[in-house]
Amino acid sequence: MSASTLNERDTTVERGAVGTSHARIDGPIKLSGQAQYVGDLEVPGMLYAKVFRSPIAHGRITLLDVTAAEAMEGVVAVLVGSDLADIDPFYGHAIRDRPIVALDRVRFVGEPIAAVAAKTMAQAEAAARQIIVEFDELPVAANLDAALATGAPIIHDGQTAAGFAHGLGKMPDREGNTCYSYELNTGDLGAVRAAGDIVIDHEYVFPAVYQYSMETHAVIAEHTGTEIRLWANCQHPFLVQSEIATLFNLPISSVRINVQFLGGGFGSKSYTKMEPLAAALARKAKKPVRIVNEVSESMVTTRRHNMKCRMVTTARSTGELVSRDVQIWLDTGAYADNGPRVTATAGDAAAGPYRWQATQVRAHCVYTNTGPSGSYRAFGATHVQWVGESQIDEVARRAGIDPLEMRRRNLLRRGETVRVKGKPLDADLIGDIEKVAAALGWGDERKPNRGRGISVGLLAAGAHPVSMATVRMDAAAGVSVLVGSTEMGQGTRTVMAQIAAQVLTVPMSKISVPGTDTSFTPYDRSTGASRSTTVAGKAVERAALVVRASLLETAGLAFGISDTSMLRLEDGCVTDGKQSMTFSQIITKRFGFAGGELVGHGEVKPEGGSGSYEEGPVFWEVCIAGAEVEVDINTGVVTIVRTSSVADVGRAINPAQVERQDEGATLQGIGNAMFEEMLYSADGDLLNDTLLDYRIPTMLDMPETMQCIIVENGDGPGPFGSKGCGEGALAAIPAAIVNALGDIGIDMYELPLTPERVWKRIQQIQQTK
Amino acid sequence: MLVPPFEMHVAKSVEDAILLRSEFGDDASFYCGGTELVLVMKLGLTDLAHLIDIKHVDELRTISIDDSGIRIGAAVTYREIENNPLLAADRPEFVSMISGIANIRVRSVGTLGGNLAFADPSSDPATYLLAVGGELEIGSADGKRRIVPMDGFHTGPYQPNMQDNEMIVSVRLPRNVTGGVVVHERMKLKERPNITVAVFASAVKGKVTQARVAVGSVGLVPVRFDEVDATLVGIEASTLDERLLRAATIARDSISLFDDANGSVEYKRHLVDHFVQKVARKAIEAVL
Repeated sequence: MSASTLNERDTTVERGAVGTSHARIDGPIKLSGQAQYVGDLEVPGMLYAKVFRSPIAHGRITLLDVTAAEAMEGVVAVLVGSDLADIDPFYGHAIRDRPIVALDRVRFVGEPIAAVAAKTMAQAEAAARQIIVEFDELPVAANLDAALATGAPIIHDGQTAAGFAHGLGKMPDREGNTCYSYELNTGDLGAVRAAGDIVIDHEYVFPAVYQYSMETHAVIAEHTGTEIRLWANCQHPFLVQSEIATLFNLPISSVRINVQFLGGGFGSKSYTKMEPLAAALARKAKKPVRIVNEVSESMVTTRRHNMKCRMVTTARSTGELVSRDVQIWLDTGAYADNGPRVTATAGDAAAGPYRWQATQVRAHCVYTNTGPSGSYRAFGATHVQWVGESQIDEVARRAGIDPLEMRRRNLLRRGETVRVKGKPLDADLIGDIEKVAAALGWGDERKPNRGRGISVGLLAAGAHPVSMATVRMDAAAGVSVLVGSTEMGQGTRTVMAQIAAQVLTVPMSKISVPGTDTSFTPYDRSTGASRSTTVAGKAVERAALVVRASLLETAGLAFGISDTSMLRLEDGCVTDGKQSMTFSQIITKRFGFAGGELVGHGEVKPEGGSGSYEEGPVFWEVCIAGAEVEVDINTGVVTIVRTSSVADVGRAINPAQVERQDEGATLQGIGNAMFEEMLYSADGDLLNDTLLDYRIPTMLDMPETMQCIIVENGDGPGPFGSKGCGEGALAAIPAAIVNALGDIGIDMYELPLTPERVWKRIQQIQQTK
Repeated sequence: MLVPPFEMHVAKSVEDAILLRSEFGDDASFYCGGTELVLVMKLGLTDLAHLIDIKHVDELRTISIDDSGIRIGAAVTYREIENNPLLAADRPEFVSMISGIANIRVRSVGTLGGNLAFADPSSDPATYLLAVGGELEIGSADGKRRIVPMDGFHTGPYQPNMQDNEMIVSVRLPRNVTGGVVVHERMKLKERPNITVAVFASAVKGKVTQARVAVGSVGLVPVRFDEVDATLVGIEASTLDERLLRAATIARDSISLFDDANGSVEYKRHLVDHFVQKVARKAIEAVL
């Protein structure tokens, strides 16, 4: 399916593990059911927890009576807000606005008010039903319009502190329900705007979406008084470790987190989720407790921000772009979670990778009385790329220019500025978009009611560039790679093994990549932002190079060759071309017996700066895709006939995994664009909190043809010139679909593109004709 | 949520099952595929202490075809219907409708009788049966059996026209009408259909002699309208377009609809209009 185009730089990589579609090293234990997930684990003495959640969206708690629950059979502890009096119970990596359980007030339907730990799950559930709570109800702002209205109920009174990983500069003063704002201006908008003969000005709506991973949030916690142990399915164990340590006043090293496998994440398990509640309940119960969310509970634990946006694009009648003015409001729910970063990333993506005379972006993160919103694959970019790209197509149509040609004329070139102070463009966007268009059969005649669309965008990727890794080679030349990237189905363990295998010329079968245990695994900032291969992979490469240097050093001594550049590694041996020693022989030689090990440590840290968001990103992830759609004008049903996407990965360490990433992102992009939408009532009830009513994409939603084109220009900062992938298609596919509908004459300003919305738009268009 | 504890009773016969049901009253329910019942129990919408397992009653598990038509035991699963060669040969459109229900996990355990007894508003088997003039065999505590038409059996959402101590024993499809066809189509955007339209039509010498249009999955119950059917009877090729339009207009104006997460009344009315025309056209063009 892929058409890999290797350039000359790739010949610098020795033939070996990298560039091979090696089967997943964790495949056999997953397929045979041996892989253990948090919900499978049992810790001795473990209790089962049921969370008691708020039935209302906004109110003061006037009575909370858990005495009946505490008296129930099997119940060991019931956690309530007053149990947290001895600690500062607020958490939140961006804004420290969220109490572990509601203290005196609830802000969304589903907010934890109490949690029961009992000997069996049935006992915990039965006890939770006995909890009595009464409220003084407060006015509810369950959507952006209500939260931004004059006189709207204020969801958080007073100033809250910045979280430990706010990372976005100074906390702004709170204005109403807006908890964070991001601005990005270039040029003089007022001066140039009048130069645009073409003005495109619309309002847009993007829905609240659930990340849906098959495995819900799950955590086991144990609190011994001096130490907390967690078995959690978190994407960012080291950030959770730090946050839990702060919450419970413990040294970071006294919080130990074990992460094995995740049944999907997509951002839903990034940062801290259920861990504080589990740890607090375990502290009170003095026993390990396990919380496993229902799907409906995970849907109120995190979601993707819904958005309102107003965008004005101006251009000359020749198709030359002049200015863009964007206002974005993102609904972060009752607590900020990762909202500020999502807001900044949306702000960065809003202008699109074009040459403008002036741009103005103002993005706002807004509290509402709904479940908190956080990260979801390609956040920010998915929100705005369809908006910006549909305006580029509108300009093209008005100017009478082919959309592909429009992009050729206006797209940034490699090395041009994407964001002032940030990293210049590090990819060939025009080359990429041409490949995607060609795969769609861009110039071919269109069948009736069919349209084609393409879209281009960039996503700030890599997060903060800090990762460490340790590579250990034992006396039998077996290798273990200790790296904190979380395996959540994306195949990171396989990629890390391939990187080590390439550097050390050992077979994949001799490499193991265990899960994370923060007591032994070196620090890794996070698994997200398409960073694992690029940043953590670089740390693995460096660690393996240290082991390689040790091998060369000892072999050099044995061979009597002091210049180790005369030596090379080959199939598990060091050779100078004449003599050769196996790694085992070298290690035996080094230590004088068949024991000991070679240990290499690798580190990635900011180079030439602080690694701040402003200076970044580590790399610009390319978000380029195309789609052909067919619309049934009688029902408004849109069928995705064909998609194409570019995985501009610098160097594909594992091409098959790159393709699978793009396919997954494409399918989620189809879900986001076509039907996924969390629906809330005016009083804040989530109306579709089951998979019967909340529709996720299935195999039946796959396009007839789904093509991933791997582009390898060797231009990434990761190992062997690689850079991350897996998010771009999700941002690009909705935009390509919207543009394909625009190609048929159906401009859409609200997602998802439900048949009813499309049908109503067709009626509108026919009436105005 | 866990299913709360309950006691399971395995019934040996229809009469045994009904007796158990009478004994436990509202604390009990018949249990077969469980695809709806277990969900309802997990959601805590019902608190049943007793389930009466009817999966092992032979009479409920058989499919037979004879001159009078088809009899499908109430506890026959969708999957068994899909895999039955006699049905595939005799009623391909029925089998195709069944194989489009939900997903293979649901079809492997879910039953036709359970679907009709649950009376979910989105049930498309009910719509199909309404169009073909299907009937139900109902068993009661006194050991008697009665045959009732599908038409009128669903009086409201989740309201089958049965007493508590009655159960569906079998589903009857009348034998095929010579010169007749049945066309069934559904539009499904989520797990359950948004609209289902089934049309039976037959013709003699280029003229429609019988027609029955059923519309379901869109309102509270599957419905049919005499006036719609009457408008279709007598159609010839020359009057097809005009009469179809009229029939569809009557259907869209007569049906009772409501706004919900599946769509506005405006859109649903349009779907009724569109699918009645589309499906009736397919059926009639096939027989004319």
